[in-house]
Amino acid sequence: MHYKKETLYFYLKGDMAPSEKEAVRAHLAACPECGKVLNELQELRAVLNQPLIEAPAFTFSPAAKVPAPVRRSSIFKPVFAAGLAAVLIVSGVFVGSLFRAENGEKKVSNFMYKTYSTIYDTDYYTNNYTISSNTLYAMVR
Amino acid sequence: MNPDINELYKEHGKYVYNIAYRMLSNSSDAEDVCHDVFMKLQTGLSSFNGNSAIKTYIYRITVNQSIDYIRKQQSLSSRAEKSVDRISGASKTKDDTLILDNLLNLIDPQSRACILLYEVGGFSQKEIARIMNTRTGTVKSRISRSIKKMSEHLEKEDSKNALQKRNTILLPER
Repeated sequence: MHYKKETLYFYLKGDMAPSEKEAVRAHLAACPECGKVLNELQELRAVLNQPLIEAPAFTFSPAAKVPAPVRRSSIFKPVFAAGLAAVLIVSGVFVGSLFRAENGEKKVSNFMYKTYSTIYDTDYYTNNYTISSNTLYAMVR
Repeated sequence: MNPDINELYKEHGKYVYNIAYRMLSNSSDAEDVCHDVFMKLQTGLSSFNGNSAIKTYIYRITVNQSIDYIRKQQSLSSRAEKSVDRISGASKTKDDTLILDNLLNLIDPQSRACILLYEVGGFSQKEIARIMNTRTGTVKSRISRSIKKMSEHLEKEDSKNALQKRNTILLPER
């Protein structure tokens, strides 16, 4: 019986259970053929283990430190989303109430008229705005 | 605290370069692989826990990058031509390098990586399995197959050389 090449190779590497190692050693003492294979494997290992070549001289600049993101409480996101949704709905209703199409003609609604009348003196039919005397007074004061 | 990238290069750069060099049989490709490995490592350095994870990662990228390069190189024949071009002149080291290149070209890239990590990198079969994301049994059988193939090739070469020598002695020069 002779040992397989790969078994003898692992024996050479010392990567083997102690009991198996002992058995191979005993066999090698009595088997010149396996001894010859062992020598060949030693030659192969010598070819594989050539001196290492020096690595190129690279220098790496340390990576820029990215600041850690600010952690927000888990409740913040839903509250913020709900608030934003409410603002969008209210502003949508407001804008919608300003511009109402009647018979295809876009007119300024009563709501807008009432709002603007506090600032401007407005002619409802001609849409000629003049700044109101109350506003002028507030600005001068 | 994570280690400095330049410290890691000092520690592993030589092994990474040599494994890539033996995988590819080409120094400029090996330099590219070596550089890429540490650039990739630099970007993800903060996410590692412990040195063993870093070590596994370094050699895993080395192997993967080298295999990608081999795929790009397309054929083994062009690599053989390259290695012959690279080695000129007659010295023992150069002869040995050529023999090693030829031997490594006999085996598939995965097995080549296993044998290089085992012999050059000094890793255990278990560590290689972790690096290559496979089972220890697979690593052992890849190493065994490679050794068998390479030693058979060496045997053939030896007998061929012996035959050539004998013919030179027997046949007188004209």
